[in-house]
Amino acid sequence: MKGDLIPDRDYISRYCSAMQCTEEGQVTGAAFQIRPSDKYLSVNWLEFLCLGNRQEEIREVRRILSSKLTLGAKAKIAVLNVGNILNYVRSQSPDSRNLSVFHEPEENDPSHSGIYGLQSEDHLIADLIAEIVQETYPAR
Amino acid sequence: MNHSLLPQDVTSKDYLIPHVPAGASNVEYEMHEVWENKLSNLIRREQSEKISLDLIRLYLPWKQIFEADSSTCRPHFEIKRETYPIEEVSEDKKVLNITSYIRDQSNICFAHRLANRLEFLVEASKEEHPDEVAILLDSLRNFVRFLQSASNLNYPDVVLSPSKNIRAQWRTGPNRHFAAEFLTTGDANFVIFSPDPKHPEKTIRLSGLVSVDSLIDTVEPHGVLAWSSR
Repeated sequence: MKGDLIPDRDYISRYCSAMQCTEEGQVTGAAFQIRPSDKYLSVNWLEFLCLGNRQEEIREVRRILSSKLTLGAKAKIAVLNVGNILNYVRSQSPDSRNLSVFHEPEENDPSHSGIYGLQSEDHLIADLIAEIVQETYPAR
Repeated sequence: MNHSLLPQDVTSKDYLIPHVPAGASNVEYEMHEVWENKLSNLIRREQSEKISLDLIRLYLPWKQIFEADSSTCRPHFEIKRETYPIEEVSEDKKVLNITSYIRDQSNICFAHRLANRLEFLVEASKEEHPDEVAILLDSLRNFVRFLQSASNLNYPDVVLSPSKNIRAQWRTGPNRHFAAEFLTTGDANFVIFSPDPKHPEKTIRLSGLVSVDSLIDTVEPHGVLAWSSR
C-alpha cells in the first residue's frame, strides 16, 4: 500500500544503466544519484511481487521496467537489502544520514518504491549505497 | 527569406552569402573597416565551429568581397541572410569531435582507451534516451582539461551521472576511492574514501565542490594520488 515502510529484511532492485556501470559491469554510485527534480530514488520491492525465487522476481522486474523504459543492452538490475542500505548509510555517512524506503506503487508498476532522504548532491551517500549491492543481473 | 544586413545586424548564427552584382566580378574592392572588424571577429570566434562565414572566404578573395558606402556602411557586395543551409553541429557531434581529438591529438596517455569508452557511453546514452544529449559537452571539456593538467593519473572508470555529466572514479578498494563529477560550470563534485592517516584501520569519508582547477590540490592531501596516479 502506498506509503508503507518497507521492512529491513526485504530486498529492493534498482535499474542501473550501462552509463553508470564500469567497463567490467560493476555498478557505481552514479546509479544511485537522483536528479534535482526527483523526490526519491526509484526502486522495486521484490517481496511485494510474491514470487518463488529471485530469478522469477528479476524476470518480473524486467517485464515491468521494459514497459516503462528502454532497457540498455548492457544495463544491470542491482539487488540490495533494505536494512543494509539504511544501516550502512547511517553508520558510514559523515552526517549519519537516515534514509527510508517507502512503497510508491504506480498503475503499471505495483512494486514501485522509493528511497527517501537523498538529495541530488549526495554523491558520497550514492557511493556508499553502491558498495553494498549484493547481486546484479542483466537488465534484459 | 533573404534580406540585406548591416554589420551590426550580423550574428554568429547567420549564414552569409556574398551577393555579387552583375558585371562586378572583375572589379577589386576594399572591405570597409566596419565589416572587416565584424567579420574578422566572427570568423575568429566561430573558427572551431566551421561556421559558414568561412565559406565567404572561399567564395571570393577576402579583400575583394565588399566595398562600403561611407554614409550607410552598406557593402557594395550585398550580404544576405538565408536559411542555414548546412546542418548545425549537434551537441552529440561535438562530443564525438572531442573523442576524436582525444584519440588523435591529445597528450593523454590512455587516449585511445578513453576515446573508446566515451564512444561507448554516447551509444549507451542514445540507446536509452535518444532524444536527449548523450553527454553534456562542457562537462566533457572540463574532464579532458583536468586529465591534460593532471597527466600522471591512472585510467579511471568513466561513467555518466543522471544529468549526463562525466563522472570519473579511481577506486582500488573500499578505503581507496576517489570520484569526481565534472559539472558544466567548471566545478567538480568529489568524493573521497581513504585510510585515516593516524588510524589506518579507519576510513575518512568526505565530499565537496571545488573548481576543476583546484581539484587535485584539494584532494591530494588526503592521499588519493597514492592509488590514482602512476
